[in-house]
Amino acid sequence: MKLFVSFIGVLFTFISLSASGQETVSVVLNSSPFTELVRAVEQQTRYRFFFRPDWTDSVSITIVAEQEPVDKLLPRALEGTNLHFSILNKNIYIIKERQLLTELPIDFFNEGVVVGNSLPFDYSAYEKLEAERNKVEEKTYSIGTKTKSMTGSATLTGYIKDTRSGEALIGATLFAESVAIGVATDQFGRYTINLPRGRHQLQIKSMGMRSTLRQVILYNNGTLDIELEEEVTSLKEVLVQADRDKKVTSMQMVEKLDIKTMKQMPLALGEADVMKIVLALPGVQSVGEGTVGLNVRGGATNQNLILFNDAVIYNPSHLFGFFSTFNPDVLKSVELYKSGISADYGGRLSSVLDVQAREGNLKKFTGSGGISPITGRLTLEGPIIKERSSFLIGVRSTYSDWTLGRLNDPSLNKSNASFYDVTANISHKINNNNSLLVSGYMSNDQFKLAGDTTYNYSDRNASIKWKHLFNNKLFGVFTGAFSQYSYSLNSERDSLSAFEMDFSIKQFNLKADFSYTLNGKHTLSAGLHSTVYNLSPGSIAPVGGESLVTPDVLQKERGLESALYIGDNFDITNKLSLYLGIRYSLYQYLGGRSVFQYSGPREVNNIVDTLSYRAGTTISTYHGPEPRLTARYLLSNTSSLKFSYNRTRQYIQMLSNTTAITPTDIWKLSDPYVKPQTGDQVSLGYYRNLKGNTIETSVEAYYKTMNNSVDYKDGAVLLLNDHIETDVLQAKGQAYGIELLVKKVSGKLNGWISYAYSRSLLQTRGNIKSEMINNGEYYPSNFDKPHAVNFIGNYKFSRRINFSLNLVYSTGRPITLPIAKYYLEESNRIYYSDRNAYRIPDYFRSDISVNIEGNHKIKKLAHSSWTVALYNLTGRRNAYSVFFVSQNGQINGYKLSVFGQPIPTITYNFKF
Amino acid sequence: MALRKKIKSIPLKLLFLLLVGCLDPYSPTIIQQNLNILVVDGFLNATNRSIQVKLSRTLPIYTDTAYTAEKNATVVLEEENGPSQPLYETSDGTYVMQNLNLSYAKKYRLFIKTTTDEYASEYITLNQSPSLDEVTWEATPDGVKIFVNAHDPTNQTRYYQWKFWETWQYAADYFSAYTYKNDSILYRDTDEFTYVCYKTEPSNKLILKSTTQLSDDVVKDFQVQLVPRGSKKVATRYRILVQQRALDEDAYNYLVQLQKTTETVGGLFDPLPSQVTGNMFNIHDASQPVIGYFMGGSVEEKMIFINRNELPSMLLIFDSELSSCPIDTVASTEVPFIFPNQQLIEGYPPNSNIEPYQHNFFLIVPKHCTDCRLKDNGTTTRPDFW
Repeated sequence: MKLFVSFIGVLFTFISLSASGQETVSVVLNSSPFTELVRAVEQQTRYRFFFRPDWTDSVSITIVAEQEPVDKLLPRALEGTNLHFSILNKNIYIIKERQLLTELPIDFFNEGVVVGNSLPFDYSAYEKLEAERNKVEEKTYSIGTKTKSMTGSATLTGYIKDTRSGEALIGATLFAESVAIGVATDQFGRYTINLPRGRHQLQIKSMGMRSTLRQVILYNNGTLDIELEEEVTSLKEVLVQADRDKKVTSMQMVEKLDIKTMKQMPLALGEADVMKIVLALPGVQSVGEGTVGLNVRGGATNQNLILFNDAVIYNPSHLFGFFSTFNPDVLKSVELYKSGISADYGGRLSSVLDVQAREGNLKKFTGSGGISPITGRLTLEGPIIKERSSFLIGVRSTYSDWTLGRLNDPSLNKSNASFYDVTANISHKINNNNSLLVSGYMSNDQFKLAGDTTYNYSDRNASIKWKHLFNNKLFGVFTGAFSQYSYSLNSERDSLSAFEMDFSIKQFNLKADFSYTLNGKHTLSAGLHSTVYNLSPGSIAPVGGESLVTPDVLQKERGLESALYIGDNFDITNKLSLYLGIRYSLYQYLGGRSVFQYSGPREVNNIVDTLSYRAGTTISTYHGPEPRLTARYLLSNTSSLKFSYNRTRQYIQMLSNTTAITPTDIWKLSDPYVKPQTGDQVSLGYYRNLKGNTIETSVEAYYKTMNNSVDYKDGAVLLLNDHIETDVLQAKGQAYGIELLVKKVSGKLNGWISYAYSRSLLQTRGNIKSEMINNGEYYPSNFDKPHAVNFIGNYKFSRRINFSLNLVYSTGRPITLPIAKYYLEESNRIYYSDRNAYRIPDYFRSDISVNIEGNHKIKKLAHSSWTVALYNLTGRRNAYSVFFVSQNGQINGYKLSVFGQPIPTITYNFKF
Repeated sequence: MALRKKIKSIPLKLLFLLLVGCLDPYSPTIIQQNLNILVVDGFLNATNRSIQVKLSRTLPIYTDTAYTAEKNATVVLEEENGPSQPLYETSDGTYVMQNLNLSYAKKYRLFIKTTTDEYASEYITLNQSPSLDEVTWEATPDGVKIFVNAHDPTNQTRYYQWKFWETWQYAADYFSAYTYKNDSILYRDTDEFTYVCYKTEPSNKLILKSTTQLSDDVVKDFQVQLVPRGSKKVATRYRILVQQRALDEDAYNYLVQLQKTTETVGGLFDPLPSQVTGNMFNIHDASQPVIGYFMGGSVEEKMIFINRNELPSMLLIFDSELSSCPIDTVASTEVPFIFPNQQLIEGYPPNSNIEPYQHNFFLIVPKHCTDCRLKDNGTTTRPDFW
């Protein structure tokens, strides 16, 4: 019953049906697959079968027939299954749950111009239960004021929404079969399609939603809003339909994940984790287990623009990176751009990770949540004004503090570690042309290990987004966002040197983005962005009366980054589409502060002068164009070739001399000495879908160069350093690689396997010895891992039990190894190799998880599910890092693994 | 009860893993190349106007052999725009000179000529150490902590290094009053006693402190050593001699780097290891590595003693012995055959009025049970300061 709309698309080419043939078949089948029946009939007759394998793969056929006509044989063969058949011109169509009718309803063709072919409908009693929906599907909507002349084209716009929650559906597709024109909804669920005037049948599909149809007669420009129902039972099949040919036909080279896909992944600690799933995509690496930093195509962890509802997130990790700061229950979608970054994104070199939260349910009050051994979370949402405003609030917290306090180990019960995050948003539709979204986000972490230093860090964001429709062709989005990241360290080990250290970065963004549909061939976009940065690079203050710590406050840093962009999506032919964009960014490093002047090499003892700049004056300016280009050529219906080039500029960098992202990493604005980073990337991809779009394959290759990547002198001091330019080096980088992906998106078994070969190299050439790393030769960066293989597989045993397996392999990360020992200062010492000359052992991990859903009764208080997961099934002790220690005069090498044994978790999730 | 335990154990285990991780020994099969780099360990002591330079070579990391000393090198202390003062080799690889002419106003460097190459250090100035105000100790549940206190009223020093030498008294498991000499069992002379030993050990850690973050150049109660609870160093009497040196910023940074890359345990947040560059260089080819940092200045020293009776009883419980001392009995006539591998601890039947050889039997134990020199490699010679 739930499926009955979705197969309509398969069948709409019928016009008439004729009598069936009289060829005969002899066959003996005993609980054989359906395909055996197909083979027998097709071998012995001229009949050909048309069927969907996913409808028939669980059907077994038992029949004995001797010279039996096909039309007699089939009813017997299909008896007891939910399959039906219809025969037309020696073609046998296998349909689920109902039979095709052979006649059109009377008066189906009403007045107006009929374009193409239409679909016959069945009016059986069974379907009348669905009359409500059928009504809208059968009804012919007249769009625009009626005109006599039906030549030329007109524009149809509208929103596509979820019937139940009223939430706008992003990326839903609308396709006019007769003219083969399709569009997708934008981030507000809005679509704009330019069609020839006349009658059209529109197919509307969206991920996780039941597909639907609309019959329209387009007289003139007009609007049509469409609501879709959530697909409850066969989630994955619908998922496929929405995504079906997108990989091939879309203009973007983007990886898109929805929260449902994420929730099927095996879970490390009982929660779906955006960052960990992104890491399973080809071309994305991290330096080690239990870290959140992403290295995308050989870029550093600070080169990713991580956006949450349009506000920048600086530290996406909780609890040393074991959790990401995104509460899975409030998320709607995650998009990762590794290449083909359009001109509306800027400010970071390597990638864009755009995370969007859901809007609250517009129709009714609902909630969801989960409980695992470490965290608890709760999300509530509902309408404020029905159909117009809604709210959503999600809270997540840990109770690990409580557990730590109960440990017997004295060093552990003096420890504490806790975090929480809160996401809240309110959306309001002022009228059809104006809507508003206000969202806020806060995350906080605090930890103290072995009763020594307390670390505290927090991300706070707020954004407001106003969407305005000027007319059917032009709309604008105006966004204001505020992001703040801060941390503090508090040490009270001994009273004389007790201190508190603080760091904070604030950022204000203003954006105006416009999109204009010029005609069917051109869609223009343009915008103006402005960002103000305000950094407090560090301060230290004594704590307690006895402390002798000298208070020190590093001078504040201020910067202004402005950018202007324009882009054009141009469909040159049906096959060739082009995106051309250019972004011009201008950055100013602002006073008031003073800047050291050096004579000769940048060393402290070469400081000759200090220049002071008044507040508001420009200390240094950098600017440059950032061209972006993407081209797609359709080789066939199921394959395409895409090419992209983009240049990006980055004016803020993270300074860290540890391998992982840590809470105490500092951010630094570009200044007269630390130049902005620039990157150029070309990439080429070939995409091909197989087996009726159920299998997606792709090959992507890229080459990337980076200028002014941040590197450090050996033993650099980064904290509380007011002359940090003496410790920072700027390196040239290059990265290249090839990524292969095979993805099965539907069926009981689905998932993907990916392989990536990638290299990431750096070169640092200074004038003096301490500014040269490895004598100025190219050397592997910390995250250069040439080979990486990821496998993710889900197998659905039944509607209630889902099994997932996850395999990860990668080459070990480069490391600087000790290559000799010597005796100095009464102890054995170690002499290290060139930087990153060796590698740690290869990484391999396997995880499994089983998701058990409660019963599927629609009417019940709360829907619940259990997730049982086993992380690192084989218990392999993957090296997180390797180090050598001189202990009692003896040199010992150690390998530190973070998850060194299988970790079971059980999580209870609920939804009401 | 059982259920409660079950519920608790899962998150506890998880958290333990989260916070601690697992450590495994690691020995990669990297090329065992012998780089044979020259290592220079030199200090110019302005207090007693002497210099000592030890020259050795690096070894592959997993080799077990002893470091090779660099013999027969020419080592010279050169004064900038002044005379050179040659060093002489006292033992293999150790070059010294006394009664040097030194001045805090002058700059000095080390020149080394080995059989294959020539090396020199950068010119250094001598650092004057402020007085070492006090060495104190405290008995804590973790063990005995040793602290230093120092200050520089001129706020000039800022960078400190301490070294120490520990000496402690310890005893063998059994006291042997008898020896077998000249075919006869005799009482030992007092200088033949092997029951009480003294052991001296230098610090094998770099102890460094900077006061640049403080408004005053004060070092208060800075811990230089912990004698862990259960350690036999404090079982009878313990002495520690602390030496204080002042460093310049460069030398301090070098030692901090050395400490960072070789002494810290690599946790999640530790910096990456890196090559440590000192102030020595190869005169003819700067790309050829040489290890070491030549430094010099005055030294300040202080010594304290800690006696057993000053310690709280919680620190007087000592680690159990690993050595096995099986006691056996032999007839006096057998003694020539078992001595000296077995030592005589008591005559039998006990009778203090007779000569040792008149005993019929002796209780014996293996030699390592009566000779403290075999136990911890100490010496029976009592140090002068004791």
